[in-house]
Amino acid sequence: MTGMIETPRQADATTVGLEAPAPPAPRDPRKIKWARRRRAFAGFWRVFRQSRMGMVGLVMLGVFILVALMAPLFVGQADLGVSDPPGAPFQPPSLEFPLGTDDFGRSVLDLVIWGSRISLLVGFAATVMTMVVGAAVGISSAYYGGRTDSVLNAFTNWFLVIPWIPLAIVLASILGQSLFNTILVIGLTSWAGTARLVRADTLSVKQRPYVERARALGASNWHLVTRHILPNVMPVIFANTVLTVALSILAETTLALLGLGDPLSISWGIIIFDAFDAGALSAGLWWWLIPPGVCICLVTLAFTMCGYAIDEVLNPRIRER
Amino acid sequence: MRSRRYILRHVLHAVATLFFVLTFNFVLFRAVGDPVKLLTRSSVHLDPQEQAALREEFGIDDPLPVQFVNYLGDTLRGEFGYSFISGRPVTTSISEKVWPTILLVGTALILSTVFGVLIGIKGAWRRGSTFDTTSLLGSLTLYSMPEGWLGMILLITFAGTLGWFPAGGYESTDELTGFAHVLDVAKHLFLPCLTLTLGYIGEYAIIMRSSLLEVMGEDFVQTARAKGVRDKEVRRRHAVPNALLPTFTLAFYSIGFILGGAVIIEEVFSWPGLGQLTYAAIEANDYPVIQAVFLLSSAAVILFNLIADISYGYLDPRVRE
Amino acid sequence: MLAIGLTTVVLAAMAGAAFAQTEEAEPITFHVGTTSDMVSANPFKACCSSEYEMLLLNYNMLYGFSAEDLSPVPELTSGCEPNSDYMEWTCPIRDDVTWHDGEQLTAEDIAFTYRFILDNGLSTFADYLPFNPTFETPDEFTLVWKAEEPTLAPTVPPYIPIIPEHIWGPLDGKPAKEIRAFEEIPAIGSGPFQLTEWETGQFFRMEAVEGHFFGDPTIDEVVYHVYGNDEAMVQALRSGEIDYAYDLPPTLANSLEGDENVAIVNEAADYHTNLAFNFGGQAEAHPKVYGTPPATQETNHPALHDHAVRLAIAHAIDKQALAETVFQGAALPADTFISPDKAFWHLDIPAEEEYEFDLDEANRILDEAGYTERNADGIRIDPASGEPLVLDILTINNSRGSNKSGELMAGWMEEIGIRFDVRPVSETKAYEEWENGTFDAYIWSWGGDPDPDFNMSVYTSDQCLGWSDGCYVNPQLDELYAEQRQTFDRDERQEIVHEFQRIHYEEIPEIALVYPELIHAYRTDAFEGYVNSPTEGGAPIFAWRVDSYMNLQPVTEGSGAPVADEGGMSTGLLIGIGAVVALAIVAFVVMNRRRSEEDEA
Repeated sequence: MTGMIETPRQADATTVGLEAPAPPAPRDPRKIKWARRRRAFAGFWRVFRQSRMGMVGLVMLGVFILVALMAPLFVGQADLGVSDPPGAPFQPPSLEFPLGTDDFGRSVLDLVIWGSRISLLVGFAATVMTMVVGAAVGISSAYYGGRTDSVLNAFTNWFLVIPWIPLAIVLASILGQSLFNTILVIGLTSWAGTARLVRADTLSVKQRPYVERARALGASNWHLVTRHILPNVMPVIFANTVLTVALSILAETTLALLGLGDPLSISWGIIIFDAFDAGALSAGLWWWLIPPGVCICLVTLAFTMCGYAIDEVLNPRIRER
Repeated sequence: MRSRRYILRHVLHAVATLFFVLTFNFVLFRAVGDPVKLLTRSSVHLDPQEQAALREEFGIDDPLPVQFVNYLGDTLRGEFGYSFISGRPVTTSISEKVWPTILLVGTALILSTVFGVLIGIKGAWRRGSTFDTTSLLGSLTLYSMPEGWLGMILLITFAGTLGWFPAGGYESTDELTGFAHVLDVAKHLFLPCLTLTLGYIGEYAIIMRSSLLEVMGEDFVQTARAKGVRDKEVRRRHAVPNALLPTFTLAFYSIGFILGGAVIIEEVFSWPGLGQLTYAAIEANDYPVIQAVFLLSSAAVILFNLIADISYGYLDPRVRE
Repeated sequence: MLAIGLTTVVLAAMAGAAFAQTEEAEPITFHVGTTSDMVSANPFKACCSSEYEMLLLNYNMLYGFSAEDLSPVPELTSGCEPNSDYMEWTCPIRDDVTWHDGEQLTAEDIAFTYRFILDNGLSTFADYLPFNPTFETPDEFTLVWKAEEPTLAPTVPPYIPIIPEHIWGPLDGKPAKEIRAFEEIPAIGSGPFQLTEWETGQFFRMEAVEGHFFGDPTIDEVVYHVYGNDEAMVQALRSGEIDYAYDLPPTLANSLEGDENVAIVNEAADYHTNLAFNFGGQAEAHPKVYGTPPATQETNHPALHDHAVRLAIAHAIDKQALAETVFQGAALPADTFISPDKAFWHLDIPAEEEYEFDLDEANRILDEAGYTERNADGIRIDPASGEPLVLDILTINNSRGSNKSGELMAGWMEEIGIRFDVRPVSETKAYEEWENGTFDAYIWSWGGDPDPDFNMSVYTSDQCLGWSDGCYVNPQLDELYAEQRQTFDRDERQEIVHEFQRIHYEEIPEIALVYPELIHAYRTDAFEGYVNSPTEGGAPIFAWRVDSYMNLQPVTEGSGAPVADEGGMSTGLLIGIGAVVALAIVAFVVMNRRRSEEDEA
């Protein structure tokens, strides 16, 4: 995957002071853990807040998520149907339709607002899939080591070298086109990068004294992984998540533009595909093709800016001196 | 000899990955279903005897292990069979299309690396300056832009409205020679190449910037500065060469993805390359072609990863265990 | 350094271009744009519009099509005569036809072509040669066609390009794969133009042949440019890179309407889009057709066998709205499966007998037929099977308008208590589902020859898993189909064909939705003398005849000017851009220097 912004060496969470030392007199272990996490988050936030880029990204993102969540309040489901559209086809922007109408006579603004739901849904769902598969493969590979590691690592490397667009095209044409399949295809083609990062991080966490101590005390594998390893690799997974969402949204657009999206769903990619297919720009219907592209660009930018800021937080060496 | 072992390990690794890819390819294209049946109703319309003949020719009736061995043998001999649709040997189709893709993606890759690196160096060195902020924001925006959409807009603006460039293709149909021909191809190359360069440049700039910042934080740079070595010298002799490594590694990894190509860009600009071939083959169920393109793309990635790994090992001795 | 190098290259290239342009007299080239690439130059691999256009220009056929109504007219023959029982046809062959390489075309070449197809099992064209025919050549310029049963086949006519025996002879008896892989360029045929150059995915060139029996065209060559998408093609037409654009989406065509130098031709459709129901039966037909057991059991909805359900669906489809919204008005609402451009065979259903778009009527039909119970979602329940009327509808992505028609129809069906679960699929996937019978209906399209035989065959029972959509079985239609095949009086045959369409319309094995128009556009300032074929509702090129190519004249006033102009401007601009890039690099380097000097200070 060439698209991933990755510094070649991933940050080690503990160097940033995400985990403050535990208070001297532990009474209720759960409370302690929460307190520690809260403090870690506060520390993270303190640094993140200083990044103007990160804050701008976060605000932009907040706006998009809010719009997506509240979309049903502004957009009537019936207005998105094709059989009884609210306007005449191809109307230029007006007060009634601020971004004009599409080929059926639906308001492009409505479509774009509704599209934010689908695009973000695809982005998040594909990312969750990427994270879960990536973390599972990465952690088991590093944790168990030996033959398991060789096999899983080979598997990961093999997914890393498969050119994702051809694979996605083949999968989409075998599986058929639906929103779920789009998510599946993106997830399947992007988990390997995460797995590689998580594996590297797990290898270092595994060597830490307290993990070895816990193991010596007879902790089960499950306990070790869920209580010690996972919380420690979480920051890497999280930093990676933010960028993966951005990449997933871009990937959805790519699939849609290749005609492999679900043509019946209203995502930004599908709106662009429909518009280009109908020759919108040559026909002067700029309001149909430009806004969804701008939205994709803004949302991806917002995620990337947050990701960049997080990277700065986690990687102190590039932080402002 | 450590380094010999290092190389050997990487070569073995590459071979193993290639074998995985071959297996995956075999399984994937058997999962698609009986290709002969798919042809019976499409434009080709085969009668039962022809189907039987084709099935025998493709060896689809043989037991799976036999098919697999045959497949491996054919692949090693470089026999990829005949296209279902054009009836031409697959190797011919691919060799026709591979050069335009290398020209397009290669040029874009070189341009974006060179400019990305320059922008990144300047930004990191004068961190926080107007140039840094603008270029960083610009890089992030370009990185966030859906390439296909950008291509569509450039196509309509520069080839359509302004009419400065041809609307598509690789060369004009007049029989031109020498410089006239070079110029003609350059004219056709300009827009798709510009789109791809814009698409890649942000990523290189960001990575170069981060890695230079990182290097600048390292002791030897600080020491050099403290010793009073002139800034220019520090930058040229110490910081930049060290920071270039990750960027060039990334560029090298990306070369491998050339073959996977810029499917959408080739579609938008009617560029007769591998992307266009893949897309057309998928639309027409031309499995022998898809399978070959798929294998070649993966093999290219594996090969360039291997080269990148080995040279990385030489350039940065820390990597060699 | 880099900047200087760049500028030098650009300037040198410019100089080269200037010399190249002044050299020789330019041939008159007709530039055509299309989005359909030729897949193969081999006639037995022909698939789509581009190949058929190439074949039409590069080869001749025994019979061609008339300008007025596409009825058969003699081409390589002066007219075939049947004997009394229509089992033996005698065709005198023209003696003034030569192959592109100068050899004489004889009756033996025609007999060879037909035998070649039958002997080598080249199914693409085999359907045109029914009843085990044999071909004899009593002399160089006479062909005798004998069939085992009475037939009209020689004059249907067989849409088969005649190939030269002296080129293809050596391939006779080779495996079909090898025959289909044979390509030679320049391609030797006998047509008025010859395929001389082809770059796949880019263009193919056809040069005019001197002294052809069709006459001598003014244009020297036709170049077909292949575009990846419609937008690019329209941009090329606007800028004058091409003179003619074939097959545009309606939105783009509408956008060209204001352009005074562009004319639009709406070609009446020779195909229809349809909602074709699946009647099941694929599982039984499977071993017969493929010789293997079926992969899956079919899953068509039992209620589709009920005529009332199909009738109600027919009443719930607003064909006018489909034509207007999905096709932007570039389509006519359809009645029967033979498109009206085949005026002689098309049966026009009178307006009062058509299924009117009337949701109340549709609801009434379903109520009366006993579909009164509804489930929680308001979907009617089939009393016979107890299943709700939820139908699995496939729409085909690359079939124009299919997805959108499905979306619209789903809205109307909701109103009559039927759910259309629309499932967009690729063509690949659609074939798979079609073969397994795992769908209830699909929205696709059918085209055909000027002769209605093929289109009718689609609804006969032996076409299950052949050409049939959903294995429809109707003995009446089977009989009528067989009967028209051996009716030799054109008017009598017309009656049978009409009867077939009437029964098809009443029984509703499919609903013909619209006849979409094909939109062509050409520059009026480049060439004139376009001839539509057929005259009424036809198109200038990508049609059935070569008239336009033979007749085109460059527009004398300022002819070719736009193209040359564009080239000049674009070249100038390239220098400009080169200069800007060079400057930018220089500026960058200089500024870098200065900055680093500041750093040192």
